[in-house]
Amino acid sequence: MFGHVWRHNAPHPHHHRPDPFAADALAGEPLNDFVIDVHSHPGPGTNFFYQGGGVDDLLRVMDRTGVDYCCFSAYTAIGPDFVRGNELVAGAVRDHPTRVIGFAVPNPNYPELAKEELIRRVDEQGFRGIKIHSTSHEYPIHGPNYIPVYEFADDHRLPILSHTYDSPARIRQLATTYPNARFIWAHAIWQHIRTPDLALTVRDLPNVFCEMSGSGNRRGQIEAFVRVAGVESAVFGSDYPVLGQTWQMGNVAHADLTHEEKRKIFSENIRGVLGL
Amino acid sequence: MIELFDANCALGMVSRPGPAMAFLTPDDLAAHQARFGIGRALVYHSLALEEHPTAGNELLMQAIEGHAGLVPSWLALPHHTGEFPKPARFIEELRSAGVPAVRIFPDQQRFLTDDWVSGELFAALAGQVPLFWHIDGLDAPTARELYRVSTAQPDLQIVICDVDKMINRAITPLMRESPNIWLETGGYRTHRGIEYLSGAVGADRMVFGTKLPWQAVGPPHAELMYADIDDDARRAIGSSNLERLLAMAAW
Repeated sequence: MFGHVWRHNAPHPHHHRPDPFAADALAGEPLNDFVIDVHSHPGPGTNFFYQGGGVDDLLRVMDRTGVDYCCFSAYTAIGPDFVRGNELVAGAVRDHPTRVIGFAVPNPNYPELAKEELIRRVDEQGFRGIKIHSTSHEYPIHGPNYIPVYEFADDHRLPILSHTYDSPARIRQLATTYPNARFIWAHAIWQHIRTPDLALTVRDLPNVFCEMSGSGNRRGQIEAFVRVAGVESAVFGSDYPVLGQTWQMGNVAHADLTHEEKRKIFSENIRGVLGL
Repeated sequence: MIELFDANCALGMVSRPGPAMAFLTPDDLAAHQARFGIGRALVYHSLALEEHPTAGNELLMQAIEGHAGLVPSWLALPHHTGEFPKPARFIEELRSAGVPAVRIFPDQQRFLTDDWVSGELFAALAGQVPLFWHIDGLDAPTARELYRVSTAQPDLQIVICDVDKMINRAITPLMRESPNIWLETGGYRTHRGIEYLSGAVGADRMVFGTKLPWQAVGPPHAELMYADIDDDARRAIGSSNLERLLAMAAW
């Protein structure tokens, strides 16, 4: 069904004349356009070492890459202590309101505290999104303790950033059950084999976005996703510092897409959702 | 645009090419790399990995004939099964063909690197040509084996290829302890990794690679271009370190 668009090795018209995003990336210059990274986690690495990783480090990297805003949820929050992690993000939101967008993390294993955290962070501290990590918190994405989280997002018309280890059918079910929530599925094209199914699913779901970062993305995967799902479904995120922001930015900046398509991925698709 | 020398790319049909497919001709590969300022590449043939080194090495030489920007590298196997030449003869074949680099994929091609399996091969390569050692992951057994071989063969220059992002705690002491260990950056997607390793062990033992055709060039290219290192270090990683390494070949 999608074979003719899924595989593409025809020369792209922009092969020999890089668009402005690719030209900036070729030179190692900050991207000279509005760029939003929807997926970042300040904090030290737990199971491996990387240099930096804190809020100041991310701001420095953003200055180098030209990323204007980052959606923040703390590494600690998707790990052992979501309250401590959310507090770290609250500090970053206070200190850097023009660069940082807070995403609150609820750990569904502590349902009462999770609900309090969402109210406190979103209603009182200006967080503009929710981050869930069902794998790290070892709790099924369709489990009952996540229902209040989805209802909260639906009521507040908030984006929910989550990893994409669940089936496209589950993604469709959540998106249609909570139509006012916006689901951002991270690492959506990571697993090459399953991407066509996902792309075919999300293309008809206006409240679903797929974030393009991944540890083992294959060449042409972003382009293939866009051909099937439509560019409106794709957004840029890095998973900083678990993955390098420069690495993931280079993947989008050099993709065989038009300048307008890249603008949509880098900011336009998600800008309104985040109130920017 | 900084000129780059790709230390890790394959030419030819592959079983799982991904959406953008493989490069079936040297012209296609070179044209794609040229977009990123990659003017030269140390290339191997995909069939050397996915079919057999003997077939792929021969196909490589036929394919790249007349393409000055493509430098050949051959895959090697231990000789015990009779499917691959004994090390002394292999060295002569490398010398005769002017091939300045050898690769091994012990995980994918399922052979051990212990002395009783690969020791003779390593001893033959030492001081003759650099060895590009492709790994599935820098896990504890692999790191220990790289340390063991690099210390047992101090004249063997070993370039670790296809690393992932979680290697800093292993690669830092490994490169400090073994001055003949190098790193190919095509899989080194660690946040600020190039910058970190430049400070921790020096920029003079990293070589830029892409992992084409499986991986896009954009990510490793951006990782190098945005690294907070000086331009001399960037040029060294981008090309001159590999030039220096290949110049160590005895022919």
